[in-house]
Amino acid sequence: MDRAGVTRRRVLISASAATAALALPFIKRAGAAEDKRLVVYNFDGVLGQAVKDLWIAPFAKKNDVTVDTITMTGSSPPMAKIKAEIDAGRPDADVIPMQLTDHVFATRNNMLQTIDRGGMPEYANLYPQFITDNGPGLIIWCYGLAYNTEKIKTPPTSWRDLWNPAYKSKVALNEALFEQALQMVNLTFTGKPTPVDDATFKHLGDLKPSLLTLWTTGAQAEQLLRTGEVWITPLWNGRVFTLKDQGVPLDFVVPKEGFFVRYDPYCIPKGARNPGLAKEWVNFICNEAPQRELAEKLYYASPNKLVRYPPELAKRVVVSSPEVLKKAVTEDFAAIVDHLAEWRQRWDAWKQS
Amino acid sequence: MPGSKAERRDDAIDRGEGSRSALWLLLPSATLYVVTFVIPLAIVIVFSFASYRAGVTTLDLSLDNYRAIFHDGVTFGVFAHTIRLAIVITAACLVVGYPVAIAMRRARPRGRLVLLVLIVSPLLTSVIVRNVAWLLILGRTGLLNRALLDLGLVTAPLRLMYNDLGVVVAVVHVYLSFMILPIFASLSAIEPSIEESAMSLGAPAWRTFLQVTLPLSLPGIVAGSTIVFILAMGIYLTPVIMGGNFVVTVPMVITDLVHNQFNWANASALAVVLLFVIGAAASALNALGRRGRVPS
Repeated sequence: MDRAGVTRRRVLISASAATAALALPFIKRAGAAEDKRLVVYNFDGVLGQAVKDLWIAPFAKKNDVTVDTITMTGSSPPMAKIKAEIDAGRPDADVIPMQLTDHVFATRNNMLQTIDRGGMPEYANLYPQFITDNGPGLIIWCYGLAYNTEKIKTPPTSWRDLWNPAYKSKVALNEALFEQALQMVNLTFTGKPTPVDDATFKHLGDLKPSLLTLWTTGAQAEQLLRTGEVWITPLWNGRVFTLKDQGVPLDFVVPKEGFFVRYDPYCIPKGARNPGLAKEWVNFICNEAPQRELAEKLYYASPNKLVRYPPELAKRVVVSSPEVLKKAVTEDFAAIVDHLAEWRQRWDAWKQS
Repeated sequence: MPGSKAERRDDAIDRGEGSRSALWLLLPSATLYVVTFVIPLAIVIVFSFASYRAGVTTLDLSLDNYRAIFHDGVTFGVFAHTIRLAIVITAACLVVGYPVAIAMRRARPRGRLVLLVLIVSPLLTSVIVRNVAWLLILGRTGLLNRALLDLGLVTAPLRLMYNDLGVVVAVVHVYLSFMILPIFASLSAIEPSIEESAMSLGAPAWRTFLQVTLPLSLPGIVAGSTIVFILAMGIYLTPVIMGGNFVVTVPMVITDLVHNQFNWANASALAVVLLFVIGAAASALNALGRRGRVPS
């Protein structure tokens, strides 16, 4: 018997219709929010927080958009995952800052959009060497020598100081940037970063008795320097000056043979959901104000010509002018990626020797 | 009532007829297993035959990646070192863990609980925190070196870490529980009367231990050693921190290949060989345990 027309099917149909009716406004709103939502990869730690405060929050507020972040561990995006997502047509972010070797890999695998220079008004103010086809190179950091000012009274002037026998078991190198360590050895003894050959590893062999450890993350380097276990190590400027401000007896020098400069191209992956907004944000963060603010806070240099540094800040950001930049070592990242496997094997063999 | 429905069903189960319907019960876990393990493993196996050139991986299948492991002059050495390290860690866990398992067996319930909490506690802390704690103890200016220097036992700080020793100490600390618990379980299963009979027949304590207790606890030793060995073959973060990167293990090489060199082909081949070595070691230990169970 049909009890007042109520059947299970009718109840289900009415319930679904009611749910759909209730959900409709939200679906519409979510659709609208999608054009105003940007997803970007971001660093962890203090740099990630500074990017959120200085580059993301002002843009989100000004344009009434939402910017969500995905935190990277170890300052490098998960390239394997990102490549799989791009191949499937659904990258999880609209903007990805990449290390320079990651960038070579991404371009060779056709993962990134080409950004038309004409569409980026702020490019006019950037030093051209920091503009790549896929995005501007930001967050410029310099690799020089960090040393303990209490233990080492005469400031080091050369990379060769790492080999000083007085610092036996007090030296460390960065394992994560082993390719930079190899180039540094060459720079010290031949004046040129490449080629990496038998002589490179002979000099590294001479350095081995001096090495306490090979660190992997900035936090580890920080701990080694704080405890005084390590007196001298190659390190980047921002990390040293932040520690110095906290009272750790440390200083940073640019060795006479030259220093290494690296930066992160901010790229838009193929298939990004919101490329228009992504370009707007990337253009925004190239502006003088966000660039200067990051330099003031964490001593990362800016590629923007309009950023002016007071003398003390100029010393800390190192790359404060085109003249200083000339002293930087020219690294060929395509060649580095080509040699990475060979160098790594020789490096591992050296470690076990 | 004979021939009732329930009885017929019981008969069916006895004859194994219920097993077909029981298969359906496995469906959810089997699906999960296929999606999260079998398919990814198949992908890894296919990739292990792929080729890699200048940052780009293509599916031109060959055995080159496997050949490279044995012929590049470095990777095989890393493999041998990883196996050696895993054996040392397993042996150290056994030597340190066995007496603790005996103590747990003899302890009163409350004492046993205290021991259990102490043994399991390293598993409750993060690997980073644990390793940093060891840095403070084993470092050149750490607690242990300072104590040795103050007591005049050494004249210069000993190198207690940034080498194999540091890695073994930190790994044994956390994997000890995987050795102790299975041994404790098999010790607890030994009927005390068996040992008492041996004693009453005049066997001294050491002989009772060697000829009765130890052989009967062999299943626990094998289970514990298998788990510790498998885990030790996969150590990654501890050698990075405690070994100062000078200690290189296979998982570290795999991580570098994936993360820094984008070479998934070689990484996959290495992973497949690692899996094979672990599987072979586990089967060998299992066979050893089975042989031990046959009374001689």
